Amino acid sequence: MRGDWVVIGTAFCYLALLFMVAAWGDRRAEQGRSLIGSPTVYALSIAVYCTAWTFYGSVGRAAQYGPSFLLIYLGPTLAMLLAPFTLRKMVRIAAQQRITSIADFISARYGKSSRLGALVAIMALITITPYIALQLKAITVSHAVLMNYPLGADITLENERFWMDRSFWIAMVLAVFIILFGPRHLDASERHEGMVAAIAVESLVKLIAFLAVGVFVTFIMFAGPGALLAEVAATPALINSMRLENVPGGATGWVGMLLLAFLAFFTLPRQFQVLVVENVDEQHLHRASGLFPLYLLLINLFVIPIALAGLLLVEGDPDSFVLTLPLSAGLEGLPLLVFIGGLSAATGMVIVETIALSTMVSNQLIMPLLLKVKRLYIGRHGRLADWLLNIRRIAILLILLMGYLYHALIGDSYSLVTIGLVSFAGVAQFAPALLIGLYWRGATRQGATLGLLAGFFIWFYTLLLPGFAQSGWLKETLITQGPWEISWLSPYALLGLSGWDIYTHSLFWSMLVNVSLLIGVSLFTRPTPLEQTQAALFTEAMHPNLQTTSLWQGETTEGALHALLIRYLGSMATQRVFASQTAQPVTETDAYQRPASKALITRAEQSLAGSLGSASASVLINSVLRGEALDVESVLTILDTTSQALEYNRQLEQKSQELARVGEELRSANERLRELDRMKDEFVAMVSHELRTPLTSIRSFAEILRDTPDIAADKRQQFLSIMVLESQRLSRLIEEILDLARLESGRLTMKPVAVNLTKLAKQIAMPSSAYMRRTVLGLSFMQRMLPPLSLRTQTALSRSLLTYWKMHENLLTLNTQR
Amino acid sequence: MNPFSAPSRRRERLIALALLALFMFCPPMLLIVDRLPGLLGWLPLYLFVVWGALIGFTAWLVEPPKEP
Repeated sequence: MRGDWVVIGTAFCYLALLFMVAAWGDRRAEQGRSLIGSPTVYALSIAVYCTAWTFYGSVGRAAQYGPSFLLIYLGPTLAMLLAPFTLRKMVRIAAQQRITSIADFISARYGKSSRLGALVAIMALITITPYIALQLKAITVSHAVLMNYPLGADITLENERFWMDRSFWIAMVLAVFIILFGPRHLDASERHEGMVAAIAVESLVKLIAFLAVGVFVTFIMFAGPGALLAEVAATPALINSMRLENVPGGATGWVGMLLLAFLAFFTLPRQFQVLVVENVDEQHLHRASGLFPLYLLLINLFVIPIALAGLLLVEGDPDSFVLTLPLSAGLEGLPLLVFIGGLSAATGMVIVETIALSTMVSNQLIMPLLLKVKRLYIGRHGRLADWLLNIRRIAILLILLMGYLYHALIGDSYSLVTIGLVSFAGVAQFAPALLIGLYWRGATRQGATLGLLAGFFIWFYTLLLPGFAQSGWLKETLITQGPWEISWLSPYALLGLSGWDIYTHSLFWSMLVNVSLLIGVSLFTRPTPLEQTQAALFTEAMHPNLQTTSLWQGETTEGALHALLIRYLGSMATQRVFASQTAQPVTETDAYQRPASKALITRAEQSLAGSLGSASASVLINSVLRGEALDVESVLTILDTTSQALEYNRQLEQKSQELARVGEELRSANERLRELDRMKDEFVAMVSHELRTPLTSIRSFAEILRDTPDIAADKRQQFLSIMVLESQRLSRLIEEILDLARLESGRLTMKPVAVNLTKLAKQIAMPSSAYMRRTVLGLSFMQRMLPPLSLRTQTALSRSLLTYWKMHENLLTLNTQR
Repeated sequence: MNPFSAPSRRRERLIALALLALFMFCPPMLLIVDRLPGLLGWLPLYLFVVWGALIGFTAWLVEPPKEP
C-alpha cells in the first residue's frame, strides 16, 4: 500500500492541484475578480512563515529544548501586533514606489543605491540558501521515513550519486513548477495572485495535516491530554522537559530568540514578499494582525503533546516524530496526509522564497550589470523584457541548485532548527537598515552599507563558519580554541562572552556592531539630495499631505521616453504608460518632438521601477534626460512638506492656545461693549433732558406772549430777548453734542478764548431769574459770590460746564426745600 | 463615544497591548510561572493562555466598531 509510486503519485497530484489553483487565481485576476482580496487569504499567505521547519522541526525542538520552540512564533505575534504602525507604512511605501523586494526597498530608501541593493541581494542569497536546503532536506527525509519505516531514514540517503539522490530531483521538479507559475509578468511589483492563492491553500493543508496528527496522537493514541500528562509524570526523564531550564541560554537565550524571530519576521525575503509586495489592501493588515497569530497558535497547539508522545513511544530523530508516531500506530492514510502537509510547508516556502530571490537577482544584481554594458542600450525592441523573464527563470533554477548543493555538502550535519535559526540571524541583519531607515531620516547610505557589512561579517564568523567546522570542512579547534588558538576570537565566545546560546551570542554582537555603525556613520556623513528626498518620502510616508510629484526636471521628448520603454518593457507596458497620457492618438513625428510632461516621466519611471527595480529605473530615466536631472524645487517641496509635518503638532498647540486667548479677549470686549451701550442710553436720556430745559422756557414765554396780548412793551421785549437767548442756548447745546462727536472721533480742535465768568453766570441765571425770585435764593447772592474773574477756556465748554453745575445745584436745593 | 478620538486611542491601546505582551513573554514573568509548584511545570500552559488572550484582545482592538 505504502508503495513508492503511491507516495510520489500523491505528491505530484498535490502539486498539480496547486498549479490549478494558481492558474485559476491568475485567470480570476485577469478578469478583475481577484481571489485574494480578503484579509483571511492574506493571513493564510503570511503563514508561509511556517515552513517544513515548523512542521517537523518544532516537535524536534520541543523534544530537545522544551518550550523554546514557541519563541519562533511569539516574535511574529508581537510583530503583527505592531503591524498597523510598521508594516502599514512599508506597504504604503511599496505601493507608492513600486517596490519589488526587500533589497529594492532598502536600496530605494538610501537614495536608490544600486550598490546597496546588490549587497542586500547577495546577503539574502547567502543566508537563504541554507534555508532552502533545509526544505529540500525535510522533503527528502520525510519521504525516506515514510518509505523505510521502521528502519531509519539514513539508510537510503547515504552513498548515492546525485542523479540517484531524491532531493536533487525534488529540487528540479520544484524549479520547473515555480518557473511555470512564478514570473509571468515582468512587472514584479504586480501581484502574483495565482501564487498567493496557492500559498493560502498550502497553509490550510499543512494546518489541517498537523492538527490531524495532533488530534490522533492526543486523543486516540492516548485518552486525551490528561492521560498523556499522567504518563509523562510517571517518566522521571521527562518531568522537567517543559521547564525553562531546558531552554538554551536560559533567560538570556529566551529574550535573544524572541528578538531574533521578531526581526526576522520583517526581513525574511519571503515574508517581505507576502506581507508587503503581495498586499492588496492596507486594511487587510488589521484583520491579519489577529488572524495570523491565531494560525500560529493553532499550528503549535499539539507540538508539545506530539513531542512528549514521541519521547514516550518511539525512538529516533525527534524531527520525524510527526511521521513516526502515526506510522508506529500502523496507519496508512494519516502518514501520507502528514507527508503532504510537510510537502506543503516546504514547497510554499521554496516557491515564495525563490520568486523573491530571483526578482532580487534579476533586478539588483544582473540588471545594473547589464545597464553598464553600453551595447544593450541599443538592443532591439522589447527583447530585454524577455531577457529579464528568462534571467529570473534561470535564477530560480540556480537558487534551487545552490540549495541542493548546500544540502548535499553540509546539510546533514545540522538539524532542521539549527539551519533555520542560522538563516534567521542572517536576515535579521537587514532589520536596522530597514526599520531604523523607516523612522529616522538621518540614516545615510554609508551608514547602512557599513552596518550591513559589519553585521553580516559577524554573523558569518559567529554562526556560519562554526557550522562549516562542524561539517568537517574546517578544524573543530576553530570553535573550541579560536583561530590560531586565540581564545577571545572563538566564534561562539567572542571577547570571552560565553554561557549564552550561540544565536543570542551572534545576534548580540552583530546587532551591536550593525546598529552602532548605522547610527554612528550616519551622524558623520552627508546624504545626497536624492537620498534626502527618498529618506523624507520613506519616513513621512503616512503624512497625508506628502507630495509625490515628479522629481525630474531635465527635458526629454515623448519619443525618447517611448523608445526607452519599448526597449525595456515591451509594447504592452509602454501602451499602458502612455494610455492615460494622450486622449487622442498622435502621429509618430508629432510624438517624437513633443516634450514629455513631468507626470509622464514619473509614470515611466514607476513602470520601470516595478520591473527592473528602483535603482535601475532611476539610471535609465537619467539616461534619456537632458539638463539638470533632479528638480531641486520639487525636492525642497517634499522636504518642506515633511518638515512641516514635524512642526505640525507644535503649530496646532500654538493655534489652540491662541484661540483660547482670542476667546478670552472677545468675552471682555463684549462686556465692554455692553457697558458702553448702557452709558450711551444714559447719555441720550441726559441730553434729551438738557434739550428740554431751553425748549420749555421758550415755549412758556411764547405762550405768555400769546395769551396776554396787553402785556407791557418792556416786558414783551424782555421775554422776547429771553426767548432769543434760550434758542441760542439750544443751538449751542446741539453744537456741543456735535463737538462731543468730533471729540470722540478726534477731529476737534481746541480754540481757547477768554471768558468772563460773572457775565457768564448772569447769562445763565437770566432765564430762570423769574423763577428764582419767587424762592428764597436770590440772584444777588450769586452775583456777590462770583468774583469778576476770567478764564481762558473753550467758550462752549465752560458755559455748558457751568450750566450743568448750576442747574443741578439749583434743582437739588429746590427739591430738597420743597 | 467621541468618534474623533477612535483612531488615536486604538494606536495607543495597541502599543500598550504590545508592551504588555512583551512583559508577559519575558523572563521575570516566566521565572515566576516556571517556579510555581507543580510536577510538570506550568510554563507551556501559561504561554498558550497568554497567547490566546493576546490574540483575542488584538482582534477586539483592531476590528472596526460595528455600525448600529
